Amino acid sequence: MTLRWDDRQRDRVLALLAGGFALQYIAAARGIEDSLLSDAVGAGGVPQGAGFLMLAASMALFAKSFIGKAPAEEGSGDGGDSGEGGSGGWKVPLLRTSGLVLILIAYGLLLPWLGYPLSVSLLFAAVGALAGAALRWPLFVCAGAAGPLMWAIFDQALQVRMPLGTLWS
Amino acid sequence: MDSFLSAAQSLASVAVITAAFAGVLWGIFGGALPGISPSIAMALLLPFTIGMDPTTALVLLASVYVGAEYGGSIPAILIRTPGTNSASATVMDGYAMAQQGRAGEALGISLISGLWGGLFGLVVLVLATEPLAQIALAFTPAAYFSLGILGLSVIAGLSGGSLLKGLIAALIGLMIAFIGSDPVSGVSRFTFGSADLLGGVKPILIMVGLFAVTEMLVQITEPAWAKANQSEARLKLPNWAMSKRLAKPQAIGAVIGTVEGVTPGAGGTIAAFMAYSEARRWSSKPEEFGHGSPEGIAAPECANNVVTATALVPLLSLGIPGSNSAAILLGGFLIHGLQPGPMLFTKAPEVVYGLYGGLFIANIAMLLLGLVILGPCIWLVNRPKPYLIAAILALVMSGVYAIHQSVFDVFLVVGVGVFGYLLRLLKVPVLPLVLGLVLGYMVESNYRRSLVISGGDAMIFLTDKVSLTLLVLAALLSAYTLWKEFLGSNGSKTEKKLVI
Repeated sequence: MTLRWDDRQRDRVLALLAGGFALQYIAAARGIEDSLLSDAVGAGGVPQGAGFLMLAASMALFAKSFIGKAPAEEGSGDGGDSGEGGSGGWKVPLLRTSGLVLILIAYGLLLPWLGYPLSVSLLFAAVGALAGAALRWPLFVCAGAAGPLMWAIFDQALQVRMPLGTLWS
Repeated sequence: MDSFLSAAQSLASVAVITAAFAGVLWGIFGGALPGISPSIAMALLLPFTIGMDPTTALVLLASVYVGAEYGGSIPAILIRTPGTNSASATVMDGYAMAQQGRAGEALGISLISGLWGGLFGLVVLVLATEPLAQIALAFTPAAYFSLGILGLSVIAGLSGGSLLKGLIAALIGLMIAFIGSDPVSGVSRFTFGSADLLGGVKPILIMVGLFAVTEMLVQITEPAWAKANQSEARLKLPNWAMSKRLAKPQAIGAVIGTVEGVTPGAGGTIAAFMAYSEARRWSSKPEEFGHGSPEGIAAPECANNVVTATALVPLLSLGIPGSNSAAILLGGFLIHGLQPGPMLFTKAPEVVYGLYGGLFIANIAMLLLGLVILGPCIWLVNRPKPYLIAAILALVMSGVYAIHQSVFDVFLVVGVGVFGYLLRLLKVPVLPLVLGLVLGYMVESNYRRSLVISGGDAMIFLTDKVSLTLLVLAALLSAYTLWKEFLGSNGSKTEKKLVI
């Protein structure tokens, strides 16, 4: 299964997302309470203007996406856009991208607990493996060296205190 | 003349010299890596500049830009893969020369043309920026507001052909800038009860997320690039006869690079392709272009290196970042509490002149390092891509945490990276977002200050002469780009399909 978007479909999705967000944003901006120090415009005045402008822009984009000729159908031989693996090739990139995001979130969660050197080593190994590096000794050696090396650079050389981990203290 | 003398003083600073060489070295490596643009190479270093002296930090960042523009030509010539967007024009004749066994000659032409371009651009920067900034003395809050509007009016030029998408992106940037305390009353806005957001969102975190993390999210799905052959790459500088032949395309590149550089949104890529096209038009041997013409390398390489300096003219004089790299440099200014723009020459002239001097050293460093760095660059280009991505992300995440020792910042940058990835899928240009982000505070605070001064009379923006001039300029610029957009929408367009 492939999910194909032409520019007009993409614009419609963007317009709907931006329009919905703009409505929420305007409501939030209207809810900002002013203090006695506030001026005539108020703390929510300019944000409301930005929200209305975004709403107008998204409506214009949505309308524009219906104007004019439909894009010509293209063959599937566009290698540049077909992703990996031919049909269904969008799944692998999506999984890899999602996996990388999860690894980065895990890094943030583990950093205070495991400490900076170990977290960086694990980050290096996980990202390297996800990107396609073989699970052999070069990856583990590089990952193992990355954490202490980065810690030496930041903590020792640059004097930026990096956490050593609550797990070990 | 004073500015030349002041710039010369910074040439004696060990810190500035070291920063220039280190920046160029990092830039050449970064530029040589396909997928790492100059702005990403700069963004990676941004967190490291926090503890530095402002001049040293800015010279470091600007030197990365200079080095990356040369570095981008190395894989363009050797493996037909431009390391930077602006090196794309170099591929055509550079790779053709490499196939003819003249890779070293092509690299030498690229290096020397880049050097002349960088030095020419620097002279333009020094001569043009200060006169523009002298107008600053007449700037009131109303004029600053209008300057911000003028800055925002260039979004059409930065929107990649879709003004509405650019406008939406700029508004997102403005909305991010509104997070935190209100500039007039101090009321907290859009903080969702988070103490981490009370002080607002630091532009550096948004830039690192949008440029570096997003790029890695894209790169992890891309196939590996080709390998370079070490034995083909021995640098050969042009001799006197060749230098005479290259003078004309270099001059063409210099003129086009100047015009494109000072125009916000134009950038090195457009300059390089225009220079290539014009060099071919004016060449006595146009038939050689595309088949290994030295002129086809000299013109684009000179043009995109001119832009490394001239793109700083609107940044330093008006505070408007006209390119991704200029936006990162703007982040460098903001980190150190400096606001580029009209008052910079009054408040921190030593930083500006130090930057000029540093850029001169950076160009010399590019020549010296370019002579010796080729081998290590080829080694780096040939490293397995998974290791490079892992190393870059380890560096990015470390740098982000180091800014405030805050895990919140790490999550914020990851979130911004994902957001940038979605924007890329939806073909939304990122630079207008950065523009909105960095100009948001200036626009809102000066708008409201002006109204307080005038007692709520909005005519203050039209009665102030500088403000009126800037607003008229903004209106003309917007009208022109809208007209172009209208013409473009009536023309035939081939819409390309995206498969996700």
